[in-house]
Amino acid sequence: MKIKENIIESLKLIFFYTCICIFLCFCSSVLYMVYTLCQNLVAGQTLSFDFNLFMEGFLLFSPVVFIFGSMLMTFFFIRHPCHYILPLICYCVLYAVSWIFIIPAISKVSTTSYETYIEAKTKDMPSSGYFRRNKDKIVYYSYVNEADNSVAGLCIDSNLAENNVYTFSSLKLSHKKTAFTDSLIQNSIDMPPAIAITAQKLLELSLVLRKCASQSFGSTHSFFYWLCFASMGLALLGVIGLRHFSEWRLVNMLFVAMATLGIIVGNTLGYVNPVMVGIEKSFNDVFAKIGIFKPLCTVGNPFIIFCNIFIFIILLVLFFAFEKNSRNLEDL
Amino acid sequence: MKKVIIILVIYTFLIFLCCLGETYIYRYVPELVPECVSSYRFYRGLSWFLALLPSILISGFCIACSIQWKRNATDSRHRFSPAMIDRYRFVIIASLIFVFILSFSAEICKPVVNRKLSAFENGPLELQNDLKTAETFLTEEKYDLSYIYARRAVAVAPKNAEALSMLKRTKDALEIYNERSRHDDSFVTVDEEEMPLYSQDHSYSVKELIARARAAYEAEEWFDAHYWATLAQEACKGIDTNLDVAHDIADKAWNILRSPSRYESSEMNLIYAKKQKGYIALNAGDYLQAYYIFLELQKTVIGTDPDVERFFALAKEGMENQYFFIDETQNMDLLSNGHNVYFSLKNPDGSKSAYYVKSLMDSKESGKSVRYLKNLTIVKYDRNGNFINCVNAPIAKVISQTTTVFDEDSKKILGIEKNWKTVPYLMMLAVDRNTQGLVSRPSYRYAETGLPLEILEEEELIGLAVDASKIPPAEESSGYAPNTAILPMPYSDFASINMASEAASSMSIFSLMNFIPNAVEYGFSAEVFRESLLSRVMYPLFVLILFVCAASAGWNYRIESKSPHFKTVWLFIILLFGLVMYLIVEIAFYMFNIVNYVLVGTFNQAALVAAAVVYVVIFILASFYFMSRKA
Repeated sequence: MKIKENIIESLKLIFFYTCICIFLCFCSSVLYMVYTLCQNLVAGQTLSFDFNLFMEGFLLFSPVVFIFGSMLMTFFFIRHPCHYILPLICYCVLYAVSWIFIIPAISKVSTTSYETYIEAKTKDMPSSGYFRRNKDKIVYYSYVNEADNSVAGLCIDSNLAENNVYTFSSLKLSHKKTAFTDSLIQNSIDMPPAIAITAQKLLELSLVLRKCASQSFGSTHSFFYWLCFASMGLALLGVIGLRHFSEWRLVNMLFVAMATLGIIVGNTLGYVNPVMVGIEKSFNDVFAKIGIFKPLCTVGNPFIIFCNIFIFIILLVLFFAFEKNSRNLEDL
Repeated sequence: MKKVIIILVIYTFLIFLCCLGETYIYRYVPELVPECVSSYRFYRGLSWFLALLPSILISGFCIACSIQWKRNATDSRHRFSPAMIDRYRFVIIASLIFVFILSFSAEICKPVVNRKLSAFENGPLELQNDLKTAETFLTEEKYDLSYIYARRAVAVAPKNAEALSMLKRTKDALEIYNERSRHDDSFVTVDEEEMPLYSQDHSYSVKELIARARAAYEAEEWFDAHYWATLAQEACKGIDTNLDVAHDIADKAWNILRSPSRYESSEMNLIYAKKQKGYIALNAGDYLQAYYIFLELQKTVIGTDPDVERFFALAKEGMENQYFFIDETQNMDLLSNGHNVYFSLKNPDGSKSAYYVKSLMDSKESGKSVRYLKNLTIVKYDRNGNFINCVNAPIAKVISQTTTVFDEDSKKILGIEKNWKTVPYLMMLAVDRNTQGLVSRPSYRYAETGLPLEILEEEELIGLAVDASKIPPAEESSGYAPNTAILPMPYSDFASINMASEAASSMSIFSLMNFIPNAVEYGFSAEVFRESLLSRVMYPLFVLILFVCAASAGWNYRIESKSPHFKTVWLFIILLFGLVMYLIVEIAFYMFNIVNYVLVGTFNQAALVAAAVVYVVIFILASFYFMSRKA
């Protein structure tokens, strides 16, 4: 009986994980495609599905989705609490497979073959016939010549009380400073700051992954380099330890999410932030002196690896502590 | 149920207090009129609170549900249990109340608060401008205008000493001026240079006019007879004998005119009836109607009819030089309800005109809607976008003109569609009621002005900059260009176009729906307006979906403990959870925005229907998911 329930729970987990990963990968690719299209869109143009951008979005953001896999699966466990062993083993295996096979596979593929679309189609020219308001100046282009970048039209200075309409022709547009070609579309699509920061951080994470993957699977380093990077995955694996943190499931969810974010942010900063890199260098120099860790130093960043392993051990201890606690509570 | 509401109310109130506290502590306040500072702080706190309200309510609801359903979870061991359906009913009722509160806040409260905030922020600049203008008008001895501006200054800053003293000065000056000169309600005179035929006809002496009238009467040319006789009456100015004669001829001719015609063919009768109608209109001063009637007659009458030719010319002169009085716009600055209005129109000959109005004022005149425009500029481009000319009128008047006066051909020439009931009729010539020769007329430019350096840089354009002070002034119209025009758009669109220039969010939903089909023609992006419409209409449904999802999450992640006590440490968790929820709700609303944009981009006209379908399906799925929850 117990075995049957074990298997059922494990199957549910696998099914859930597959579905949610596919769904999130698809959503993030579509979002990326729509947003990038809108950046080059001008008023009057219609949106259409662009396969190249979709693939580019997929290649950029699906590794990030898989990194969050442990958090998603832990949410599943919080929702469907059980104390069986097999689902836990499934959890570890699924996540390990993601880190060792899936993420590298996707990150290896270069995006250059899909990026060519953007260069060719980049238009810096907004369309004619629309009024565009820029704070207190209103601009209207009566014609826009794409061949030589020239425009004609009028500009209204709403601050002045009279003589405030200037007409012009044969002026050229300089290259767009903001990412959006058309300010009309920017006003409606532009991300609020909270979301813009989140999106930027996710993109940074994705680029760090790609850089590491290309270095691991290129000629410079070996698979061992990737495994060292994957120590982050090991730490993330441990977040399941927080699943029985409190009696209130919502609190558990919160803490799991915070732990995941903390580990990811810590790792990313460790690779990217100059202050952290400085600190790591001094530690690594110390490690290099100790003979055993020499091969490690040449390949990876031992400081981060040790931090991740340390976090994993703490979470493992917490896991056993909370499991026992919750089992006791259930038996009561 | 009670616990839920109490928790929510306390939570919301706490956050409101936090917002208020934060706004008073937060040092930075932009430059403001001094007595407005504390109201500004209050409104700022309120606007922060309103921005946070959706996430507060949704996260509060989620937490309240998860606390509420801690007990009695055992009655839902199976999916779609009756207890779950009961809970669903509760969720829907509560959500509908919250949706109503949020919609009210989004549609009504937020715009009002934002408008108040921007009014506060513009305060100092406006105060400065008003005082300066009042001073200028005082020195120019335009006492009534300076009084108006002083009143405005006091309205912006009620306790400002400078404004109050200016008000007193201008009030006193105005009173003295009023006592000194009593206005002379004498007759208006119009600049006669541009109406050659009219002035010529009015230059004959009374004797000449009566002679002409008599001659026409004997020749049985009733129209002419009445015309000259009327002119003679006007020229008499009360001198007796000739007046009686003129009156007599006029009356007789009029009676014969008005009687039904007696031609043989019905065609001739029709033409005569038209002529009657046209002449009556001309006599009554309705130049526009007369013009179009005689235009039509010109086409239908075989050969030349001197009557038709002459009255057509008179009507044309009258129409093109229709004027209004400058003092009709005297309270424009105080009463204006639109600023910086812009739009473009496609002319029937293929050219395009861009219109800009600095400020406008709505009014009513003999039942018709009337709009006064200040500082109107019309720039005309040919079909390839090349500059043709630029007209600027200091003041203009637009009345709604019914389209029944135009025949088919005229409608085509003017670009009037069949289903338009009224069109705007623009008049750019204004005269002073008392002083002859004081005329406000449009001025023309036939060359482009170029852009000054600051604007060139701001708009990121490259080219030769122009010195703003060296731009040649525009030439005043010399009588060859008409001072009136019919705008090729329905008057209802013209009435609502000033809102489009402000923002899509300031238009009401109904006017938005009417505006969108023509938005592109008027120079506005249809996608942006359609997306705004979609977001505002679908907002309640979307928020309802979010509440149902929050309830599902509350159930899924409810408290599992056996003990009935609520641990105090959880209160801190609520705050933390609120923060996380804020990010999630922000993302949800942004996705809502993007999905609407995609729907608009894909479905165009049918976007509203498609969106309704999509969101209803999502709502059904969410409800289904909730009802299928089990312990």
